[in-house]
Amino acid sequence: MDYRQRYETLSKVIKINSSATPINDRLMQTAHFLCLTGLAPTIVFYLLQHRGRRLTLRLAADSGGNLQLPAPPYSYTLPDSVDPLCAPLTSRIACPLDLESNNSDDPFRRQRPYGWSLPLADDTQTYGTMVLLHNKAFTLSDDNLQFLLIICRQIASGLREDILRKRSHKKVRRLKFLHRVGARLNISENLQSVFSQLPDSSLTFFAHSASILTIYATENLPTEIIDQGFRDNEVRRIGLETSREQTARMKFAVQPTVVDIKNSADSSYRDFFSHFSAHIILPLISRGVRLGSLEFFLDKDPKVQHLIPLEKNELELLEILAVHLAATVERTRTRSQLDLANQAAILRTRQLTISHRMKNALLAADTPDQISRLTLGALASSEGFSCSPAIYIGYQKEGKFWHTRFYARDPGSLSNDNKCPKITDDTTPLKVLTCHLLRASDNLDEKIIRDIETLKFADLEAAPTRFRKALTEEKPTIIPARFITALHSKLAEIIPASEILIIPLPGKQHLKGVILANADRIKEQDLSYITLFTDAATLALDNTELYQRLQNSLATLNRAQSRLTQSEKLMALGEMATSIAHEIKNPLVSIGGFARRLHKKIPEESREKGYSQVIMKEIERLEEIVNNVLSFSRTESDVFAPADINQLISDTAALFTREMKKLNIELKLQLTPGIPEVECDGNQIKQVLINLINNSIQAITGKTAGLEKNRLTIRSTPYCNLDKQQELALIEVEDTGGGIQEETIHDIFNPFFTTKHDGTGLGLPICHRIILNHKGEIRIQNQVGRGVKVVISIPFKHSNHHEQPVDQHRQER
Amino acid sequence: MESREYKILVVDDEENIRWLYKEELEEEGYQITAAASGEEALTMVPELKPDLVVMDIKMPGISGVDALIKIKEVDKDIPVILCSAYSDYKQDFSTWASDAYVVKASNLDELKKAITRVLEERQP
Repeated sequence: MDYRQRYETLSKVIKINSSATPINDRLMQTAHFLCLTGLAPTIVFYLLQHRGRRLTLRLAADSGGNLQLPAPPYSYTLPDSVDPLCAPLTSRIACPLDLESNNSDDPFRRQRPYGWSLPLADDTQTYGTMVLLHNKAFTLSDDNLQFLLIICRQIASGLREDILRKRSHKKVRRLKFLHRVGARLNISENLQSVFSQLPDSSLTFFAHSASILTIYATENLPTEIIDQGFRDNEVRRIGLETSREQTARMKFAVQPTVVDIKNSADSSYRDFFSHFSAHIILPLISRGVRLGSLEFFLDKDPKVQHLIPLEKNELELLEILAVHLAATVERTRTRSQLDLANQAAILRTRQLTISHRMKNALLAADTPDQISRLTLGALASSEGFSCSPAIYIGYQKEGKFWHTRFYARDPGSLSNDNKCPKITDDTTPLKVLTCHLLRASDNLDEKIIRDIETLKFADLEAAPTRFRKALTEEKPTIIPARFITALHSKLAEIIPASEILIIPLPGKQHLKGVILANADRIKEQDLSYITLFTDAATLALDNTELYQRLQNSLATLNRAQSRLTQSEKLMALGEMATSIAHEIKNPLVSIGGFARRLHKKIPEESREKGYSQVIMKEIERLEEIVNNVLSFSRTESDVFAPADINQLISDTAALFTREMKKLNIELKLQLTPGIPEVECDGNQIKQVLINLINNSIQAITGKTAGLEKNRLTIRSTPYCNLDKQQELALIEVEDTGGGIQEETIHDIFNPFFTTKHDGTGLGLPICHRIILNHKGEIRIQNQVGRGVKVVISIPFKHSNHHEQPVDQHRQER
Repeated sequence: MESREYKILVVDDEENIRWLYKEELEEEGYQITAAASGEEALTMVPELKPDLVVMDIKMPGISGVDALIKIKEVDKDIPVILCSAYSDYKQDFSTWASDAYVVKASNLDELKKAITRVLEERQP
């Protein structure tokens, strides 16, 4: 082989191997050119694959340019091999081969057992070997060997370029994939769609068969393993308790971890995942919180097994995937929480609006019945609290039992054309709303009416404890229906629900009523809104009760007023009758008197005696009639009624305050609070007090000199006279008027006795007479030079038996 | 008893009544003087010094009760019998200061009895 031929061959080989043609074409053409030089009849290439751990027969070519691809592919596992083919790979030098003794199925080697093996290697890596095969042993000249090594180096650089190109392609493909997955995850709506992206992802990522098992577990979300076998696109859920080790890994792994399943210490884990070779765990961590993990299981496929352990950059890419996924999970979770919160807020707003609107409607209602029915309507309506049906059990005070009075069910379910307007709709006038809600307890069929009429409870106190507790706590409560049905067997039919809402309506003195309603469609947290609304109902009930009481009082007042007007008219009539009677009486007396005189003068036997007799008798009759009219028209003078003696004293004293202030007299009232009422004629007692106060004032202003301050003291005290066993009210009027002269003290109760120039002498005698009339006593305690204390004692109880002494009267009792 | 003729002053605004009283009581042996009003009676009392006054209550001018009080001021020993058409003045404490209260009637028996009783009480 001359220099020229070598040069041409070399340039062809360089050209081929630096081109972008597929590797098989390149190797085939290279082999063809080399065969043409006559160096060997057959050239075979063995390439290292599976990261240099296997040597595989790739192709063979001969001088005829025939390409022979081996079938089946022959490969050699390197570490175990004593194959001479391996020698140049480890030493990276060319060496002659004697393959005759080597027992191999390799067809090329069996045909031509002698040759040379040349390493395909560059400075960094060995890629395989090029073998020149002959029928007999042969040697290579130094020139040819050098030439072949240069050729091998060219092939190696071509292979290296291939590998680099392939790697960069793979990297780009994976990055594209991550980008795509990331984008998809970003737009995914929920966790389910996130999971559905994953099988596809693993296929793209590993480009080999693998199962994805995503494990998702947090405190808030259900613990589950989702096995996404992408081959059959089947999603299986596996209980987590199948594996303790799995749980531990899932809980504690914070770094991407690859587990070799067959070497795992946990036998249950090993058995459970026996059909997998490796387990890749990627923790899903968002903002420092573990949300769960994304896990891949690699099949026991030789094509996949070489991937383990994962390269660093592969692991990094998976980590990026995990971060994407964690962010998405977090985002969807946050969004679903926000959605929930938003829904709750909308619900609360609706309930608050209902409560508010119903409060207004209730306050506008007039009668307790209307309020009860409105309350039921709002509870039962699907536009309200959806507790349909609802019944109101009211307390019947007279009968002392409980009776169902109203029943309501969702009016929306009655008829479509009369659908209830939304309570929350502000544009619906309150009147219209009220009308519709009241309809909830109208339009009942006869069976329901019959049923609720049978509901009578003699004693709610005998109800089950849970029910009684609800009543005594006076707030809405939800209890299981079985506690209610024990009250009455019919109740279960009337309110077919598993849970019952009990709303006690507390009154000021006693429970007004109880509402029972279907609680199947409400939750515990709705109760506070129901409370808001039922409190308004209770208030409205109280208000109407007060209003009705006010109306009753007003009616009574009106009646009293008309009676008073009537009696005033009668009184005026009476006064007129009196004056007429009085005017008639005087002439009657004259007529009668003189008739009597005539009568006396007429002789007994004359006819005129009879006439005058008639005149006299008739006049007597007329006088009788006139007397009756006169006595009828005047009211009773003594009116005994229980009276607050303190009130009488202060009322009377008030008449004098201005005058006493002017005269510089201090008025001191020492009244025992809560002194029992005294049966007396208030006006007469006032008359007595006026007289006494007048006397005292005159005494004080009339005295010549005095060191003491001018003072008038009035006291009231209860007193018990043990001798007479009598309870008395004492009234003392004490002044600083200098007292009464000793010689006159005995005359002061005598009529017309007076020491004053303008006095009538009747003041104290009248007082005396009035007090005697009250079965009381009046005494004077005189301190000459200082003042007088008048002590009046009146029994609390007045006896009408004037003839009987008071003590005797008491003993009788 | 009839040691002397008692002087009785009759006070009434009705002329016929005064006449009737005069006729009837003079028959009983009393010496009767009549006055048509409370005021007139009061001017007559100091000079006349009657042994007894029969007084109507409802009269023009001062009432019989007021006239009674005024008479008592002059001489509280002169007995006064109130004689009125109203029966229920009896219970009224405003009239109790009188020595007797008689309901006016055409039959004067009650008045005559009252006069006799009051005069007997005044007998020393």
